[in-house]
Amino acid sequence: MSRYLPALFLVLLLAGSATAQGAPAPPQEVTVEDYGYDWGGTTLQVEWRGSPAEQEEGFTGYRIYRGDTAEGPWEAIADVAPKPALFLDTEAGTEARFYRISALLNGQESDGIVTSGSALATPNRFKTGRFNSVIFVFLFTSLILGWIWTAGRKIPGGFLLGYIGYGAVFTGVLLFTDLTPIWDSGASVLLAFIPLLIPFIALLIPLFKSRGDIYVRPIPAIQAVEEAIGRATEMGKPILFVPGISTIEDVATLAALNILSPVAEKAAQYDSKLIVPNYDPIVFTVTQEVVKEAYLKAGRPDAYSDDNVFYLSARQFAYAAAVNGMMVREKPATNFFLGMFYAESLLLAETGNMTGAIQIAGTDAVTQLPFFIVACDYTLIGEELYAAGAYMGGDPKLTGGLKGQDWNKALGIICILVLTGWFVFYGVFTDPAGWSNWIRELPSTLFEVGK
Amino acid sequence: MKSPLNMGIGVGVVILMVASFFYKVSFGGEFIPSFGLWVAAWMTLIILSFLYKDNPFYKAAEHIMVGLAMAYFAIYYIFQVLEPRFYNRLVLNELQPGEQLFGSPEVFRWALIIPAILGCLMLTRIFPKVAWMSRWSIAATIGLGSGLAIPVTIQANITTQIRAASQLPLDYMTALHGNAEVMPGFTNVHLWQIGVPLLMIGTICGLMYFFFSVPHRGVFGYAATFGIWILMIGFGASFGYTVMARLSLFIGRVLFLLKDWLDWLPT
Repeated sequence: MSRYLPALFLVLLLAGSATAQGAPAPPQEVTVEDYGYDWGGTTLQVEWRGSPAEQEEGFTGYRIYRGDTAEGPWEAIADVAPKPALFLDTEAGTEARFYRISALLNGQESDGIVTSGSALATPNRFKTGRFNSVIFVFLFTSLILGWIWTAGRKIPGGFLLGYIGYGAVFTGVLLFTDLTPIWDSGASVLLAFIPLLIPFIALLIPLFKSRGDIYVRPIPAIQAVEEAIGRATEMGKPILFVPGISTIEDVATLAALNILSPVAEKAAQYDSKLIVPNYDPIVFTVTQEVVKEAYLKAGRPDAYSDDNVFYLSARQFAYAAAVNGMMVREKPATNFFLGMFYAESLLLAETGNMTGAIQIAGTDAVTQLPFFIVACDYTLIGEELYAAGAYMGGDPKLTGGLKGQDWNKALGIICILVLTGWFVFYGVFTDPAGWSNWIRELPSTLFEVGK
Repeated sequence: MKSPLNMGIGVGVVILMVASFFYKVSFGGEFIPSFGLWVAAWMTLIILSFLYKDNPFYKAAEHIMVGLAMAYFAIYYIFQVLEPRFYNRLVLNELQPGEQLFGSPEVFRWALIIPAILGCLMLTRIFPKVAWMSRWSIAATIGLGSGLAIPVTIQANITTQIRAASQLPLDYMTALHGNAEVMPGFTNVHLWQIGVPLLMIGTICGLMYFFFSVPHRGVFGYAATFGIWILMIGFGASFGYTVMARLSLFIGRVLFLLKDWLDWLPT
């Protein structure tokens, strides 16, 4: 018998290696949790770390099993591709569920790895982790809208109705949707009531509003716009308006378009040529419309030419090279660089400086502002860019919006001062390490955006 | 512009360009890699020639860049946007997990027709008579863009900043009570005793500078002036940092010319 032992050992070894080649290694770290945004359905999200066998030829993916207990019985519910290592079970139901995942290689199935715990699917219509963000969006926007709607009115009737309606809708949404996690989370319950208070806060604001015009402090860069356009007219040279190199969704781009309209209107009135090279195709179509409209408003539709508002390139340095070339060839008397800029800001501003043009720049890109400050005659810093459209348009509703934004800043300062005062005063007497978690986590609870 | 001197310089540059290429190839360089190096090196020099003045070589480089960028993005949009995001999803039904609308992947799939129609409407700008239809697409783009931007801006520019500003005094007070190991960023408590109050006052005064409906006079005016000083100090630091980064880019380019192209420096 002993002489057969080596042969038997060899056979077993070969059999073992054959099994190792055939059955792939299983996936790792399988987790399951409630899917946060399932439109009121019952969806669970299963995630795992991929099997090492994914790199091998013939790897087809994973098989997902669902079960009511950690021991089974298991029901195969889907075969999925290797990537992404994620499965959404939209038919999880309302019972606690376990999942088992196995890897599939050349038709062979690995051992199944079971989730360490079960999960219960709850219907979620909102990303509840972002509830604080919703509150602040309502709070900040309602302050601005309140001022816009009431600007120039003595009795804010429409505003009143609007906010009563808002309060009713919000209450309805709260009652209709399932926000159980919020109601269950102790201190967060208070947060749920804040949106209901917003209409009343916003209602109070117009009562403090004086009936005269809203004061707006002078900004030199905006006061210089007319002078700059006049200079171009006197010199018989064009005006260059660069609306940044971002997309239309960017707030800075929208602010630049707000300024483009009055600039184009003045250029039309003075019969100056306005050149607008564009980076983004969508922004290009919008600038064309804005300039055309401004020429029409100025009573000079005949002076508008599509050739002066054109698409250039969506490649950053190709765009910068082309605009630079334009500046040295056309020699515009006035350059506007307004919107979102990146590394090309200094290239543009320095070339404009070399050509001797008067330059007005504005951006909310903190890293690019220093370059504009050193190379341009006037610079709109950050929010000044957003405010410029309101300054130039002269529309009371826009200046009302400015007032609302100031109230938002005041609100921000109050939040910082209250929390700082509290932490410092309380911290002088006691060690914050011993404070309750909810106090120490207050800044995060109130202001951090969750999943 | 067409002076004999300029013409002479132009001809000289062209001769140098041709000679440099043949020099590289004749000294053991393979044709295609040498051609690539040659293009990159001369494009670098031509773009830098703008520092002297505008010239025909710069114009040529500028137009090549713009043309290439246009061609690149046309292909990019077809294969990175139209194919995977539209055709594969709508026609081939290749949806990723979580891609659903009103809880249904099918609704998500067929809803893709709406942006497709809006995209087609943009093309109506080619025909002046129906160009007005493109305004629907523009309106949708701006409306959606603004709607999406508002919460993101409030989160990123307001609430996150308030959180950071109000978290700082908490961490500071924790560190003051001798919990430096809990707050590793506050090891030098004495320095932070100046830094944290300065940061808090700077933040609030900086915000006060951006009040537009309040006259910057009296105490408010002093606070706003202090705020703009803080901003300018920040901009100065940012300027110096970025200039250093740009210089390092320039050094990288010079090294490319000297090492990779001319072989004047050991690689």
